[in-house]
Amino acid sequence: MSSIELDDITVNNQHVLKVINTNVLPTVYPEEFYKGSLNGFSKFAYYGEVPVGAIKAKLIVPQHHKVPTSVYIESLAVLEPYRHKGIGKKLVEYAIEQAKTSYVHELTLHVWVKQPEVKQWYERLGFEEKEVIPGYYSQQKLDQPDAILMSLKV
Amino acid sequence: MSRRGVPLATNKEDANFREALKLYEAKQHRKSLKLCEQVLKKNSHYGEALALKALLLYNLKEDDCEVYVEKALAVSTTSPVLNHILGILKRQQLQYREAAKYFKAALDNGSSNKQIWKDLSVMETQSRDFGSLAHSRLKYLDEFLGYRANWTSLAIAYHLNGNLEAAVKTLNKFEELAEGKLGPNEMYEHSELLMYKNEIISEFDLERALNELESTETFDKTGQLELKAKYLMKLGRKQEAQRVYRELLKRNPDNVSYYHQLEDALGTRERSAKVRDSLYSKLQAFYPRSDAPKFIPLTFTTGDLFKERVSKYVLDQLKRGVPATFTNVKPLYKDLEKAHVIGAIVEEFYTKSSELSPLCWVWTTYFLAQHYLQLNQLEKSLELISKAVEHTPTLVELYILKARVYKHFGDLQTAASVMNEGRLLDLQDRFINSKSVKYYLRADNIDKALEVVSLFTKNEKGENGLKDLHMMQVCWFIVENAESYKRLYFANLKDEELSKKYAGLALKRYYGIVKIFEEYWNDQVDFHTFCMRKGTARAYCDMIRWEDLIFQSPVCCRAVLSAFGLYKHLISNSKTDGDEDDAMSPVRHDKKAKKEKAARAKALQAEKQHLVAYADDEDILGETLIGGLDLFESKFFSHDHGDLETLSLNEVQFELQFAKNKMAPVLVALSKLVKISHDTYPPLAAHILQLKYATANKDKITQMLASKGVEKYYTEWDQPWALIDKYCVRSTLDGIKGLLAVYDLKLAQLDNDKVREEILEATKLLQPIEQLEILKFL
Repeated sequence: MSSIELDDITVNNQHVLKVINTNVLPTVYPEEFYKGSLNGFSKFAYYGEVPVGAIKAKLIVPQHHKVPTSVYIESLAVLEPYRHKGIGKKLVEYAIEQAKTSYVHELTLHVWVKQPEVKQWYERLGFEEKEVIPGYYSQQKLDQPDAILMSLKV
Repeated sequence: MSRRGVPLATNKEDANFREALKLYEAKQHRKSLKLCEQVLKKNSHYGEALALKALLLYNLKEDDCEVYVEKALAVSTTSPVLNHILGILKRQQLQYREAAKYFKAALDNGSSNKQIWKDLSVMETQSRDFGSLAHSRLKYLDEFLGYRANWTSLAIAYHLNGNLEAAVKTLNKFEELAEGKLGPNEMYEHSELLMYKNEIISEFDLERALNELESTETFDKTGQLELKAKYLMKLGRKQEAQRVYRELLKRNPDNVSYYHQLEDALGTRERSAKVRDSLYSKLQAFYPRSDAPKFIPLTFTTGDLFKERVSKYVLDQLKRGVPATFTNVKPLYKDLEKAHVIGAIVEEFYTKSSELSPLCWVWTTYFLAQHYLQLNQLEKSLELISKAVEHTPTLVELYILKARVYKHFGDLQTAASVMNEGRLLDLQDRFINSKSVKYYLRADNIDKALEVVSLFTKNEKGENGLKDLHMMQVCWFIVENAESYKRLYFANLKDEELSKKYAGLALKRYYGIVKIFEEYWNDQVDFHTFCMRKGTARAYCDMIRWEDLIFQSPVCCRAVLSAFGLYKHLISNSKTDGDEDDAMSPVRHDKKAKKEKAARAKALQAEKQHLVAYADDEDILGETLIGGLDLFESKFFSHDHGDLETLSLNEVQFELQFAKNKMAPVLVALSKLVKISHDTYPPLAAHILQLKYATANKDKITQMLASKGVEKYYTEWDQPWALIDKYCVRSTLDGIKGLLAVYDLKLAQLDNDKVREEILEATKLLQPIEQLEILKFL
């Protein structure tokens, strides 16, 4: 069994994030999304020294607030052949840890309504459905652009 | 000092001249020149001042240096100071033989400056005049006995000149003198020199060398054991030798040559595979972490035993996910049967590999893709590697292989862009960076290649890395860059101006390679004194031998041969269209043409800035390198190569001398080509036919010499095809290139259409990329 390690995303390997996301996620992100991958919390997950998963998250400071109230997971992806090995879970745990060290008590993310298995996966980790946001992915040309906002209290 | 016998510094000129010398030594060249000119104003026949002026002009990069050399020599050829100065000048001009001549003259005419012996020795070593070297070193030693370096220098001089016993005596003498007086700082030098002495002794008395070796106190324990084993083997004492090799293996069980040498000592190489296999089984048990005892049995076992061994070897690595598994077994693919056995084993394993781990599956797929590429099954290989990339798109190695497969398909553009995709995954990986640069160059996308390679070079403001690449002597880049310019030259023959630009640039880069090797050669100079001081005599002698063959290094040969091909084409091209040009295109004088010309010149000027390879270069585009075979010879082929021992250099020599109607060196080159290739070099067919039939435009004597000389190699002239078949094996790229050379001769004695057909027929069986290489010439 190969080991799972997390490591930083750097200027030199940030293209890998794009490769993983485009391979796994139904959504397409603009270039600026990847340019910003060095800000916030982002990590690669290595399986036997090969990068196979990645998380990109950031702190959310709502309007009229001075301090962040939640950690928002912008993208989380693990290459298909490397699933069911606890890699995704490890990445979420990393986000939780980051939330705690930033004194933030909530993690949020969006799941596409047409991917119930993804929703279930997050539910197994303790996330709960907050609301359905109609048309959230309307710019992504998905056949059903609604998203479910999920949240986890920590 | 004064040659007129006048007491020192009695007249103003002498005093001024001496002052000028001092200023030169203090590197105040301008001031020194001023004084020099003052002296010459008073006395225009002051030889030493004329020589010094020549030297100063050279240092100040001004003209007329040679004029003053002449003037100085016209005044006197015997003045020691004058000769000394000219020696220094010639040394700076890298004319080592000349420099030695002047230093020698200075000493012969009674110079009291003993340091000149040392300068002379360096120049003699550099020009490989070992006969005189020992004398000079001895003279210098006589003056300064107290330095070990001088004793070492003399010993090395004797050794290089083949006077082994004198070398040993010299080394012994110093050891006696120094006995008990050496401090701890000198012990490394001492140890090196003891080993050096021992190696010299072994060249004439093995027994004595072996006996003395035992008692030699040295830091180089490994070297000592290696020598001991070598001597024992040469003396036929194999039993003792094998014990030493086992000891060496204990020190380093990863050194493959120890295993082979151990087998030589044991005499097992001639024994059955079973016996040898059991030897390696034991060695494996001793050194379980070493690859060599596991791999070597795969080279000699066959049948079921091979299958068993190779299966364990390959599958162990695949299960662990070793990326280089295929590279490790690739040497076995020379034996096609073994290749198929390996393929079958891995195919069987492949079906269950995904159960083990996704990484195991990916590396196994990667292995099989390489396997089928090696067996020339490109479609299959591409299918596998594409699946692997889809499965794990974050693995750089997979992109490298995928690009390689596209390259073999002849799709160089796709190959380059796939390689670049891989590069993007890890921008700090220098290997993939270089790979993608090379692939861009192969696809003739020079701008992109430069952009990518410049990520890793030191770039001055606003510049690309081209200068740094030349400074850092990055031969692979420069030679590939040259090749792409050469291809662009051929692709743009219709546009005279453009093709000429590419030809110049190609030659500029090829010459860049030759220049690098000239630098290597010139860099030796410092070592002729440095190594003596450090006492690293063994490494020094290795370096001398290495430098002797330096212009025959593969990349240098490649550049010379390829540049020669370009010169040949440039010459034949200028012959055919030269006169029609004048008649056909009347010079246009209208405004529009002028404007166009100005615009093009401006664009070229801007482009030039990106093509600068050297600081202060006046010939960025290599225009001065375009010319005839004389120019080629003086730039690319004028080095002291010694005997030509490579196919490419002899190939050049053959054609060059053939063009110059010098049959004696042509025949020497021909016999070398036969000898080096064991009579299998495909272009020999064309060469032999050329000497027999293609000498019509040469004089009678040359014709006769050629056809006489060639009889040694072939006589059945009624069957020219038998000759062609002998050398040009149709199933190989080189064989077909040999046919192409025959085709190019366009001989009346041969049905050239048939040659063409043969080429086309044989080419069909080649890989797509190789096909392209042939077809562009038809």
